[in-house]
Amino acid sequence: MKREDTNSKLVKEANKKYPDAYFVLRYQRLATKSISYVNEKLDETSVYSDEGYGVHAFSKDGSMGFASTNVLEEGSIKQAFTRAVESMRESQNNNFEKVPGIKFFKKNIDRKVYPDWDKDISIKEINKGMKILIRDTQDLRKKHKGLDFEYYFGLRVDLRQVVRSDGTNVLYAYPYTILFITMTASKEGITQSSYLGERGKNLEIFEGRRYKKILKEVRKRTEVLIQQLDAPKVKPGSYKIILNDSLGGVFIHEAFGHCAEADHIKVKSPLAEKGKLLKGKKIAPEYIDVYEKNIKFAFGYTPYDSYGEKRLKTYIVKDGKINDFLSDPGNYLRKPRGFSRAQNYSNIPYPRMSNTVLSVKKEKTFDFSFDPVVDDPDDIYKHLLKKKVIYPNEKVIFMTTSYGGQVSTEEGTFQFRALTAYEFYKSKTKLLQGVSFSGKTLEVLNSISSASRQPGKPRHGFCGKMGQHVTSREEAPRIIVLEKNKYIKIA
Amino acid sequence: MSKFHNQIEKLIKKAKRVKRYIVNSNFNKTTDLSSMGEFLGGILGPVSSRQKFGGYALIEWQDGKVSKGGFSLAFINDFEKQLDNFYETRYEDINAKNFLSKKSETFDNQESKEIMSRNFDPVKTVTDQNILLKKWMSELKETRQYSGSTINVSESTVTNSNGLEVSESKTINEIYCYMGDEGGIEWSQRKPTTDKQARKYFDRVSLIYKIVTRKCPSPKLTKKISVILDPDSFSSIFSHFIGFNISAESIYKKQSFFTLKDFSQKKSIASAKLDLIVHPRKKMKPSAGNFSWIGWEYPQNFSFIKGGKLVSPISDHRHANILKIKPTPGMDSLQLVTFGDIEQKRSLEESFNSGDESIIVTQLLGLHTQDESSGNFSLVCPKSIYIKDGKPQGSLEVMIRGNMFEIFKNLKKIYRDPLTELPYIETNDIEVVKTV
Repeated sequence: MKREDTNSKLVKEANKKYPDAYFVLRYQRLATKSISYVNEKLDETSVYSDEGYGVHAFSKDGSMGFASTNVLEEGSIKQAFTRAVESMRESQNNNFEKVPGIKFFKKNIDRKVYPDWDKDISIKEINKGMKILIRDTQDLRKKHKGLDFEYYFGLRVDLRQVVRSDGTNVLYAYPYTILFITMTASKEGITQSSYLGERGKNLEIFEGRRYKKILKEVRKRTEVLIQQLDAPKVKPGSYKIILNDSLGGVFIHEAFGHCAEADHIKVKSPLAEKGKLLKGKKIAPEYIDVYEKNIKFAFGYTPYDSYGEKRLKTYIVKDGKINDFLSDPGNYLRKPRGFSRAQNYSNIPYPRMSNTVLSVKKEKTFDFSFDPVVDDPDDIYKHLLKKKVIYPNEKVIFMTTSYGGQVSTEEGTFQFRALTAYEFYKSKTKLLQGVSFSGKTLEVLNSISSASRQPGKPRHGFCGKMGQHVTSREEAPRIIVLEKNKYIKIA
Repeated sequence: MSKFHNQIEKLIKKAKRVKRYIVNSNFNKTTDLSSMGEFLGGILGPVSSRQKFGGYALIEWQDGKVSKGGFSLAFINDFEKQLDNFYETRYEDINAKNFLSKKSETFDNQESKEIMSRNFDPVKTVTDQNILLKKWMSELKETRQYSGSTINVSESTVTNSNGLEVSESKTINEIYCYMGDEGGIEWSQRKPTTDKQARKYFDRVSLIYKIVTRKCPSPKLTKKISVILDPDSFSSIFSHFIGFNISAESIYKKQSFFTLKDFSQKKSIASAKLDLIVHPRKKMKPSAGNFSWIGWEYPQNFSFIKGGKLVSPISDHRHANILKIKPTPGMDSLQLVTFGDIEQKRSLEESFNSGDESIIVTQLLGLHTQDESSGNFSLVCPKSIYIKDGKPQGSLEVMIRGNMFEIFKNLKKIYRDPLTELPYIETNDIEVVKTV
């Protein structure tokens, strides 16, 4: 019998022994496999697996204790329940912080398992795909002296289960794969890198149209990277800006989404005052919505959170006004909406995003069928002039290819990096070195004047908070136009 | 050596097709308590107790190929399948050269022994430490409080098929407190922190907090303003640029600014007074260790830069074999690194009260997004301290721009902060721009 089928029994037994405690048991089983190449040479392969339990014990007044173990002997797992109860009592005796939201927990029973979620993909199959990719890109090295590649492919299968004293038993499991390519170019003492990351479920990354698109992007990015070695740096200042989907995604996640997490709302956030959400306050034009929504089995999918609560679609901004925040049971006495996530069984959950969407209503959109990364920036510039989104006499910075960012949630200050940027001015296009984009969160939202009608490519990444990394996904229009604003700087 | 290490080694030893192996394991028992006050809620803690066993195995198979992978105790429960996974991922690798010969050594941590012998209670220790920190923090009347303490007892073992067996145990006590975004640092050592030490630590946190919560009236910054990267900022920026670019792995992957030739030709990259020496086994330091993951016993010290010139990349055995250079210890923490004659002792408090006009950077946003190999950076520093007329004037948000290799080349002031035992620098090669 598999462990996931016996975990309710563990909770029942623990409840018999400790009737004063309410348990949330988290079980996780994961396995990873990876392979990497440096240019044409296989560099490393690796496998990893882990399996373990996290046990939360709550008293009636909400005091909490936690224990975890990956020592899977029966005695050790039972001991984890005991340690959690002892910790809970210690918390109670010292009157430590309480977890008010558990009183709203409601029983859930569900299983969401991707078909053949744990089907093993052999290293031979992965290697076949990798070798084709390498074969199809190594001509670039012959063409450009000083160009080097690193290729990484990783497969991860992850099962998570939450069992509680109220009979809740939810489980979800799905696989995901990651392809990451690093391109480094050097010339006369200058070295620069660019990256491409793709996510999938299995080996579809190496197949059909998807693969052709990846290949096209690698070639384009390489070409740009080589040109960037001689490109000028941007003159620091404020500009009208065009962000592509990856930067729109990182903005809505890093700069805005984190400010909407319950722990930040409680402490200090531009969306709250003295711990209270400024619901109804206008913070963006009326054509902007921002929301959290689960997409089944997509990267970052969390149908239930780490306490077993269902993750609900939540509008953070509706019609430009603050609407809601990403709550968890630890911070507010209200019904949780399933936003608590932990990196793994041994971590304590925090309020986190999973799939964050920035949406611009139709009346403020324009037609834009280009691929911002691959298509010719001259053509893109001409199209935007034609659409009267930008004008010949204004200096515009067009940024593509995000390389992540960071935010100070208290002040709403953010810092991002675009690996590729162009200056559009007087009908001429100029390639720049990578730029940093920083400013105040709410100023960006307020500066959005229009966006493409076409949706962007979802951005996938790993979000770090309090030392824990969880999967995340973002959606934004293919391009977004930001008016010049003195609080938004490029350097 | 833990019984789990033994069990895994026995299974691998008996397995068919296995020619040689290295088993490296770590058994961690951690007790932590975080009093969240009203800061960064989540519901971390209060008291947590974790145990985790895991490690790496390197296996050489009969056909001469090798596999490397991580394991947990799931490995024992499902051994055949796990071993098949290892076998399937085997490949020809220079790691096959890394099976060191027989040696047996146990590096016991004296502090751990002492702690255990007096029935040390980790739960009580972390509880008492937190109560004390919270009491002090309440004096500041700041609701955005976050403090915590952790006791970690770990046991690391490496064994291999040649009969090598090395092990060490460590006990680390860490305390930390933050007030909002401002003034938080962590303090850790390999024995329980005394109340007196905790107070000294807290005084530093409190001092930074008091300065950075005072907004500075917008000054006109001169072009010649010097920038001080505090210990935390310097550690991060140093590892991101210098650490990355002098690592053998980056050189091998050609992602580094430097080439191997730069080391053989002893390229000058800094002042002749600057050395970069790592002391991996420095006594009582939490990040210190006695051996690498394959059981190689570290030398007491090792130089990467001598007289401002490149001497050796930072290299593990695998990359050392690939590049045909000597293996070196890693550089996990700047607590274990000294910078030669250029280094001077100066507390951060002294820098707060220095006569020159300067900006002290206490927080960097987005460092991980900067291109390591170019050395260029452009970063927002939301809580920087503006120093003028020999005293801190308050906090400013600035953007700093520069190139880390240029800064390093001209670096003349490296200070060692006695409290954190971390280095920090002062430079005139960073451009400072006010964000608004």
